[in-house]
Amino acid sequence: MSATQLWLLLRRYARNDSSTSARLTSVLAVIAFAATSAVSLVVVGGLMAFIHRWQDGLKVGNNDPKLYVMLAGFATLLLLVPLATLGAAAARLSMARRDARLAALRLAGATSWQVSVITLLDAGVQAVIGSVIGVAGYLAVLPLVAQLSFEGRQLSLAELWVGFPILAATVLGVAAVGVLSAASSLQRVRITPLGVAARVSPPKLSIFRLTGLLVAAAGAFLSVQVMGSLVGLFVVLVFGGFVALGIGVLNLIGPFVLQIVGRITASQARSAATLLAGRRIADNPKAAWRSVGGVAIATFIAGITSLVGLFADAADNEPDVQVLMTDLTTGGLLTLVIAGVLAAVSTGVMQAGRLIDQRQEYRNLVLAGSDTKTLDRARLRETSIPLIAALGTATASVLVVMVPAIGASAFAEPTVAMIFIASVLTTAAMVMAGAAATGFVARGLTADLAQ
Amino acid sequence: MTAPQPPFAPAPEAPFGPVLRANALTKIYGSAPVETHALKGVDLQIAAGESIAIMGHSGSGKTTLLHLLAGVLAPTSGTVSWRGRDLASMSDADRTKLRRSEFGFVFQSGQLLPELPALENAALPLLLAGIDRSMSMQLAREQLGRLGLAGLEQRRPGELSGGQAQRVAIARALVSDPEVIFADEPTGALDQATGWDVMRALKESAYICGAALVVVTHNPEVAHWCARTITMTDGRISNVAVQQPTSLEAQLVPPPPPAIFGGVGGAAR
Repeated sequence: MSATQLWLLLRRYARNDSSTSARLTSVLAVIAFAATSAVSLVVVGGLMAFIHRWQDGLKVGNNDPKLYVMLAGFATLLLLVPLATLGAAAARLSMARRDARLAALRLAGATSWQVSVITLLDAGVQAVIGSVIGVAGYLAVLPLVAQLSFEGRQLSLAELWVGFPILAATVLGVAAVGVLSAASSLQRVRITPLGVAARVSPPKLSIFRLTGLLVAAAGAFLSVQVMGSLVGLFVVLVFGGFVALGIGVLNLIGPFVLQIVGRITASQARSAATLLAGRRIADNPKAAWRSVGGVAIATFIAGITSLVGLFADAADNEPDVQVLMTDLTTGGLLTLVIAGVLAAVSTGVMQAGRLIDQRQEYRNLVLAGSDTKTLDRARLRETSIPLIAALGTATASVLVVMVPAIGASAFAEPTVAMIFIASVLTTAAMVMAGAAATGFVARGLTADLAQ
Repeated sequence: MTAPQPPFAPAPEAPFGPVLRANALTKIYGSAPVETHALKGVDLQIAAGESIAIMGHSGSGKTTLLHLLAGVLAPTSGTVSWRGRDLASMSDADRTKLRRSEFGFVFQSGQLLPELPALENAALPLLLAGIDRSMSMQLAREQLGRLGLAGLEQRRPGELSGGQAQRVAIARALVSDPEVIFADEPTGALDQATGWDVMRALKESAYICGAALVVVTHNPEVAHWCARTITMTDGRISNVAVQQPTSLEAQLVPPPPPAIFGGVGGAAR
């Protein structure tokens, strides 16, 4: 039997499979792939709107439209990291339930080639279904995005439309992410089917670590293209360098801070929920940071753009500058909200994945009389504690970096601070909603116990 | 190779009345036309402190019976009553609380949370019941010590052997001083010698804290530790065998004074 036929046979059985966790895993992976592609398209649409305006020579006042393209490109690059995180989480999830099945197939005599084809087809199909749903999601939110106004003009649907080639490229790109991640996970199965069956796979460093390099290369390319001069490139490099340094420091200290926070939480915990949350954070601070790191970075950027806007408000009343600064603030907050959406989905997906991996432990706890509300609380705390730590660190970093530069005027305009705080709180609420949504998964895992 | 015999016989039938009583239990999974009749009328009484093995082939209904007795599942017809109170008349929250405070559970595997050290895993039922942390940890530490796990309190489940992990699970089942311990294939994932050790630890601990022990198993050597063995066939009890206590029973240390257990789950008793 060819590998493709074997895959079709397994798909047919999978349709009749009543196993809740298997179905949930597929649904979650599809949701994550859908969110990845929808957000990617919205972000690319926004970038293209500014490119169109620049190419069409449309501008308001004396502001250089190239600057807008640069800033939008910068925001796009910033969002690549949380996007890649979500894509990787989706791919990891689609692999979660597969390890045992693949090992069983290998032990039953399937060749590594057959196992590879089955895995890649599974991952590819989930990614394609997800990204097609994502395209529909992009089309659905376009009217909402078109309410935003930049350069003194509302964005139009035509400006935000990415065109069919980019739609197709996104679907293919997301499918490629799914297939490539599955392929990299396959290395283990091919070498040691027994090892995978026994769940002793060594921790793997993600291929997405290369994202940083890609971001830098794309940033440099975009700078030269848009600014068209070395002076412009120099300005961009200095500004980008500072921001990159900030992000790097955040990423370096983030997991470290979370580990300490987790340990302190666990050692001081008075309830089972807090103890579990603290131990889980301390056990894998990098995973905790992955869920909230994107939001922390976006908070840092949005904080800076808000304060820069404030600085300009105080210093200069020229209308062009006012428009630019307002746009800068809007862009920063928009980036924060998009990062929040991504973090909400990836938090939900990652927690659901862990629940599915530990479904037996979870079921046994419920069997032994654990209150599901306590377990829900533990899961929420596992998100809220790193989230508060991350947002707090980011906001403190903004103050440390910007207040000495701007001085007391930073506090002269309370509206700006309030809008910033409201945006941060909205973002936090979205992430918590993502974590709360995993309650459905938890109920699903114990549905058969509900009489 | 013959299995080593238990060094002491099962606890004698306790002189008290039944604490857990099942009457004419039936359980049907699914709906017509693909119904599965897992239980077809089972009557069973469990006295305080007694030990029962439920044996039978796969699909004979033994795990379903355990889940009905523990209030995890509701019967299709028939009743399960705990100290005279019908479990069906209790709210879901009350049944959950009953499982947490009066029952202890030991499963074949997958019961210890990988992130928590042994001590916190053992203390978890108390913490979940809202008992103060230092008291929970103290009781868990004592329970681990009794099971020969002193010094291993800070090890994670991944750093314990299969037998040690199962002893931590027993400590966890016992930490809230339950009246009944339900064990579903407690030695299923262990080799023969380790399984024997674990059963001894389970039986001894249940005896010491005066808890009834209900063990689901397909292994006659495991059933040998229990005073009564009921065999399930096709959803019905097909055989009941009672073991006579031996003189070795006397080797068991007497139960400690109840002060250690008094303040926790047993407070309601």
